Amino acid sequence: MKDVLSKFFSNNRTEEKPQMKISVYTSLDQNMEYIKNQLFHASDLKWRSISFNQSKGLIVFLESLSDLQKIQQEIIKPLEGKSQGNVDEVVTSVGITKHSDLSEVPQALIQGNCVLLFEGSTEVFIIDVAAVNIRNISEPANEGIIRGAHDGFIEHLMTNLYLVRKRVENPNLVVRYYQSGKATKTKLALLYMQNLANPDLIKEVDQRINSISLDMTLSPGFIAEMMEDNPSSIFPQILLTERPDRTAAHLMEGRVVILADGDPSALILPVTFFAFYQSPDDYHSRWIAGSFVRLIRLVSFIIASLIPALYIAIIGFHPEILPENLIFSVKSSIDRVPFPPIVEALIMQITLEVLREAGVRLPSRVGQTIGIVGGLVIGESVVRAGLISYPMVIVVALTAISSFVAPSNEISIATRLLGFPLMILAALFGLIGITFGMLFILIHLCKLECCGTAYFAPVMPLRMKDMKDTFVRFPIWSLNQRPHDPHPQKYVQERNSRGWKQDDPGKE
Amino acid sequence: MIPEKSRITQGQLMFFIVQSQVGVGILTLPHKMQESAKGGGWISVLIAGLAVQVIILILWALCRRFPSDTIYGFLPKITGKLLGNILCFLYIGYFLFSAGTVLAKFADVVGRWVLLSTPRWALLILALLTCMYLAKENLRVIARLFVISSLTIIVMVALSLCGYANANFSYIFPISEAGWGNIIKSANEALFPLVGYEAILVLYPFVEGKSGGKLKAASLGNMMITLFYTFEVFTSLVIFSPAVMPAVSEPLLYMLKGFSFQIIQRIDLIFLSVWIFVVSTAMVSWIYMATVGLGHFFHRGEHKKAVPYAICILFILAMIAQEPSVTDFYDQAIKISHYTFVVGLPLILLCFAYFMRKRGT
Repeated sequence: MKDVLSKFFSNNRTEEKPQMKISVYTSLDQNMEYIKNQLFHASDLKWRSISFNQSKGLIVFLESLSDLQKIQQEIIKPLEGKSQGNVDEVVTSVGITKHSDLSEVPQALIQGNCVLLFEGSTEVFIIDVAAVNIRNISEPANEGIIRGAHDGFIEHLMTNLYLVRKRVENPNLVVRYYQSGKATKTKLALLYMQNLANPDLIKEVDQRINSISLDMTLSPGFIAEMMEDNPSSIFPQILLTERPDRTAAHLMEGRVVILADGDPSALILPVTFFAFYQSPDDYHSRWIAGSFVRLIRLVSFIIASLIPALYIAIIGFHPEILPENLIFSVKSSIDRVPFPPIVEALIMQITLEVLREAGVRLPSRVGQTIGIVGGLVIGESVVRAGLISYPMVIVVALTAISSFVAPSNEISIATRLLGFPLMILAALFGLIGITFGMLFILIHLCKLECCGTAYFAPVMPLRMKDMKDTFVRFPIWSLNQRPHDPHPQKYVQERNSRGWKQDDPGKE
Repeated sequence: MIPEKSRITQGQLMFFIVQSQVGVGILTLPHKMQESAKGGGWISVLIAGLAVQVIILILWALCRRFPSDTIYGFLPKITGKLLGNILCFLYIGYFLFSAGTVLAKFADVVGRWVLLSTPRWALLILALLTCMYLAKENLRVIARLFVISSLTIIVMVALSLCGYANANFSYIFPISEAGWGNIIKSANEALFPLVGYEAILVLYPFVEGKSGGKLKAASLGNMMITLFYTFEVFTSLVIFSPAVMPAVSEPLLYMLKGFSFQIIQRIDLIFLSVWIFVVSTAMVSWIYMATVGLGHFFHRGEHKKAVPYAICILFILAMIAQEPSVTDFYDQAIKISHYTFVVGLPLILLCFAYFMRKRGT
């Protein structure tokens, strides 16, 4: 069965033929003709003729990708000014290379280089004049925090690398480039700490990136899906973040980061379930407050996935579990509703999901409409009309709010999805069904692995020392070892930082 | 020989033993103990725990001679191929039968206490599917889950502690009301809820470390469970008067039914939900033991391929056991086979191996 499936899903891999090498023609026109043909006479292909060393030359570039200022300042101006000498020395650009293979030229052009050709010469100069059009560094909207750094990754790989390198000023921070996407040639960067990250992990990640064979790599989601151990699990196993501080912190724990050009999200792996519930805020506030907030977040995970199911189980199977006076008030509201609790819950949950999805798409000017429709029509009228009971509205509202507490959007969706099978189990078997559902989820979490790291570490397998930064956050000075789950090379991360406290006060 | 992914630590072995031992027996044990040993019932459990310790010693001594073989590997080595293989199948049968009994009792209790009108087959399928999902994993994953689900024992103890609000310690006196003879005799009865330590027969080669450490882990696990059972029996004995006890078949649940917190009225339901965790893990443990054998014979050591039909067998076993007469027959059969396969045979095999100087490498 599995073989058939894997045959069905596997793609027939064919190695691309290496391009034929074409030596540069001595005739300028011939060269130009070749370049034009290779780019299919693109309208943004521009050229300008110059003369240098008494020979005619051409500067060819794509005006959409090149910085015209740069071409003028660094190439044309020096060449016109000197009109004699060695081209490499005269041109003031940083990146200038000599090539004798004409077939490389089109690729160089579409990467934002300009090409310098001379009549009678069998060599071309490829000069880097790429234009940089980027937006400002701003705080990621979906990962806001109260205190701490407010910068975020943007769509430009170099800027992102700058942000990380600036935070970890250490030669051990290694950056490796990869190219993914056979057609789009998306640039990827793999980052890790040479002295911390486990060599086996790096080898594994390297192998997985290299095995990606896609025409187009649009988003890190593509890469994540290609690299995850269990892509069909409901839980995300690779952490996506737009925060450089979070990225740097994970790097320093011996994890590996993948950045892609054209997308502001960094992929962090291997991570555990609890990494999705950590936020930089925990570390910026005092440790007691940070622990409290993190506990709230984890409790909200349980609320979001469990409360609708519990409600259905209690109303449908064991109302006697509630105290007497509560039973009466709940029952009086429920008796007017014609549906069983599961139908009520499904209606409300799906309405909520629709509202949420609509909220993402709607322009902010129409946002108020959603507020009125969602809050008044669905919240109030649906009860007045006797379709849904009040307690159900409360339960669904609580679920919705709790699920949005998670600092990562991926886990928040997973939480809400998790609620549906639990609700069905609760409708079929009551509390017993929920227990089996929870057991099932626990088993699933226990099974999941990410590049050799157990997903539910440090709970399964149990490691008490790592608990310090899991459910709560202990004071930083007590976190003197890195988490063990990514198997870093060095464990000690904190030495006697509060050593001053042991000073003998009697000495004066 | 043992794949890296199946190796477990000694700590994990301990929790594995713990989880295999706690099963359905816990609910009915106090009732049975009171019946035969009166106020001294809790002593019987302690004695049973000691007896289990001795049996563990025997099993360990046997396993130690073949440090890289499971029971399915070393049985043919001791007794010769034909007899050994027959014995292996008997053991597989015993493991499956134990799992089936646990499952049947589980369905009985849940059907009686919570889901009165839910069809038995639906409940069985729900439980078996969950068990199957875990049992087909490698041993390391199973052990990881067992470590965490051992937390449920703490929850169960905490819930039972509520009972002490209206405890009456005079109920257990005189301790020797039934006579010491009866107390020891009922220790025999207390042995069966404690079964599950046989897991060591299968797990032994998977555990890292020296043989002494493995014995320590298994003994510690057994000790924890014996103490836990003793505590639960003692709790029930001091809460229900000797006159009421015969009418109460699941004293722990009845006891909790009587209590209520401000927001939760039925603590017994919470207790039952937690108890499901322990029962499922016990079943998974039996299924794992059986399927390792089935995998050894039919699937070149891949136990997960044997899980689906093991599950089918369990389903049939549990569906048959609906009548009290069948359940009683199951109980009798378990008792006899337990003595044969866990006490008698290993002892004979040990002597045999000892005198024939048979050793594995």
